[in-house]
Amino acid sequence: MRGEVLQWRDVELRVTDQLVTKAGESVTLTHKEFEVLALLLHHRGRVFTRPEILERVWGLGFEHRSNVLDVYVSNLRAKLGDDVILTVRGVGYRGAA
Amino acid sequence: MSLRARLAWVAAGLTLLGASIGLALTYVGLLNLWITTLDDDSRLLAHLITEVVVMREDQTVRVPGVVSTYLTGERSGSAAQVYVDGQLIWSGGVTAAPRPLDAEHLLLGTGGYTVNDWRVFTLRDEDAGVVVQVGRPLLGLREVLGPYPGLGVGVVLLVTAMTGALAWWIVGLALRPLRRLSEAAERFSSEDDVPPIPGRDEPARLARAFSELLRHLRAERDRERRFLAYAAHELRTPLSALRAGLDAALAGRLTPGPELLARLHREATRLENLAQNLLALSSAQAGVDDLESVGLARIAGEAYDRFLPLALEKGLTLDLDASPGEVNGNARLLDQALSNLVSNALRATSRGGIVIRTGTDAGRAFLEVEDTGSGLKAPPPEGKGLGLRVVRAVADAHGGTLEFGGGNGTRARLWLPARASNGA
Repeated sequence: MRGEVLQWRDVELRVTDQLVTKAGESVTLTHKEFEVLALLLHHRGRVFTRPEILERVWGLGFEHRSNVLDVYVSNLRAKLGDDVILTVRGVGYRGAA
Repeated sequence: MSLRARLAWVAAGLTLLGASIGLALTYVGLLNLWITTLDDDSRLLAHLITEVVVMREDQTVRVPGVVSTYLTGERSGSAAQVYVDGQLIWSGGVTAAPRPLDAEHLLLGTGGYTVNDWRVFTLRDEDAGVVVQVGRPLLGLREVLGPYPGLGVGVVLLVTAMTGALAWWIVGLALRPLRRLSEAAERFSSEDDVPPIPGRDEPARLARAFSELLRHLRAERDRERRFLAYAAHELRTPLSALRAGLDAALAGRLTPGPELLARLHREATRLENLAQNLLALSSAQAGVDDLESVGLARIAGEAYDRFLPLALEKGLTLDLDASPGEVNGNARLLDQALSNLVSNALRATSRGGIVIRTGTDAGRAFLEVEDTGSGLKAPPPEGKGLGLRVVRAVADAHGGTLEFGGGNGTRARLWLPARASNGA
């Protein structure tokens, strides 16, 4: 992922310095928000289950019962646009194509 | 020697010196005045005798008897001698007087001189070749002035002693605040306060300043003691829980499983948090010297990531409203301070949510945590709660302030001097 720039419509993610812009303007994301978004956009189109995302972003042993991931997804949608992350009913999430 | 005694001695010494000089000058002045009076008197008498002698044409001198009577009648006994062409032709007054009274000035001139304890006035009339000498013994004068030095020395000594005593008293009065203060300082370890110090002079003001300092130090020491007791207590609780869990597991009363491990993990986390706070407190109190540019929004984001799971577990919402704010500071300490504010908010809130905010306002940057909890308006009392103590210490170390406010819940805002925006 090093040196990589991920792009979706007018949203740009610079993976090296965790800089995010939308339509050229800087958007502030927390570290975890950035990691969730980067994971989904990097493997664009692939469906991730909730436990999978939780494990990859938060690491092993994280409390699965909470709806932490839902909050992050809704934060990202509020900041970047509703369809930046798509819900796959009954499975998990995937990044917009 | 005490300051009091030294000042009293100095006052007495100066008084003695001054009074002695005064006494000596008065004595000399009095003596001169007396001699001048004697000379004037003698001059008059000498002129009279000269007139009598010169007026006689047969050269047989007959000085009126009244002169002799006058001379012998004086208290000390005087004498007069008349010379014509160098020959003693008449002598009157006390017979003990030397002849001539003043051999030197018999030939030399007119004037009063002291010779062998006699004060002799010589009057030369060159035309008639007549010399008249009138002498008075100075022993009489000494007799008259005799008691004066003795009396004077007595008075001087008395005044000196009185001045010394007065100085001793006044200095003692002026130094009383300092004495009281030093007594209080010697009893620093005891709990009684320094009694109030009256007075407006310098020692009283100094004593009051030191008494204030003493009170401050004592309060500081008491705070440290209470804090140490508090920290020990806080450390003991999770350690006991940890130990109890492990004991139960070792004794086989509890099967080691996810539940026990989660509990032990929770206690270990508490301990770690406590240790971090103690470390942060000591380094904040030591002062922040390795300043770096810190983005408050980034710190707020980290706190958000860390606390969101906890908030959700409690059924609370956690929101982040981070506007950019740059300060010069220590990121680890600022992070710890914000964590403590969020922890407190989580503890105090059972319904609703918490918002973490950052931003700038009028040249100052802030970190803010607002909750919908118990609605604590006033800052909690000092010493209660390590977390808030750390926040205060971090604020102090950065030249900032901690402010409490809020409507329904509590709003704690940590103000910090904003970094100049050129590098931000």
